[in-house]
Amino acid sequence: MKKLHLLKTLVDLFWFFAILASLALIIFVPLFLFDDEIYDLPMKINGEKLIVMDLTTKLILLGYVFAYGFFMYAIFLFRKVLNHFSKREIFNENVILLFDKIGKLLLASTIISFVVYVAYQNYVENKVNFGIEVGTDSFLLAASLGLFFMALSEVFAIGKNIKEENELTI
Amino acid sequence: MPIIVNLDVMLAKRKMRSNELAERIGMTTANLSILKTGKAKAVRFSTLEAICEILECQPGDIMEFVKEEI
Repeated sequence: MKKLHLLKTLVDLFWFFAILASLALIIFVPLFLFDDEIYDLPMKINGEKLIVMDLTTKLILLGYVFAYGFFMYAIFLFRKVLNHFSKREIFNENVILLFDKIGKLLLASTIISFVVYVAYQNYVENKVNFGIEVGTDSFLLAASLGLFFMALSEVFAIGKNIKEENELTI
Repeated sequence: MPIIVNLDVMLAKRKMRSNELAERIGMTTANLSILKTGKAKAVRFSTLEAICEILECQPGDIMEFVKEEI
């Protein structure tokens, strides 16, 4: 279980920094959403600095915030799963539900990010780009990860059934 | 499940208590209770053999198939 402890530590570290980033979001996003003035804050979307702050840009920003929120909730649930694992609760109803929820959240986050990304490109750069990126940051990989968690939930449900059958074999 | 376990009947016929049977087979009373109440999903041949040997009966005396009404 050494690897589990390492994973738990890494996820906890990631969670800590992500919480700090979330605090900054909670402070600055309402500022951008409810005030039309652009402050000298280095606000970027897809690596490009925001120059215009109108309703569309605000909606795009809101979309990103939602996608980030879903992603953060998925990480929170993943930490719960790791806690279950460290207590040796593996083929558990809770773990199955959590895996399914994580998968759905990651998928929702990816879809929202993709829609917002296309909308942003269409609005700011006036072009629609439907390319397939192959990298660690691609939408395809993120969507696959979401589906992987959902499949894992089904595999764990089968595992739980086998475990119960094994326990009830006299 | 359409398989009915009649272990209770057989125990009564042999005037033996569950605890004694469990002890002689080398099984926990909790496991024997799972078997008696029909909650078990499977029975090992070795367990069946031990029960039949101690109760001096056939597997069919302990279990019976009853068709489920739909």
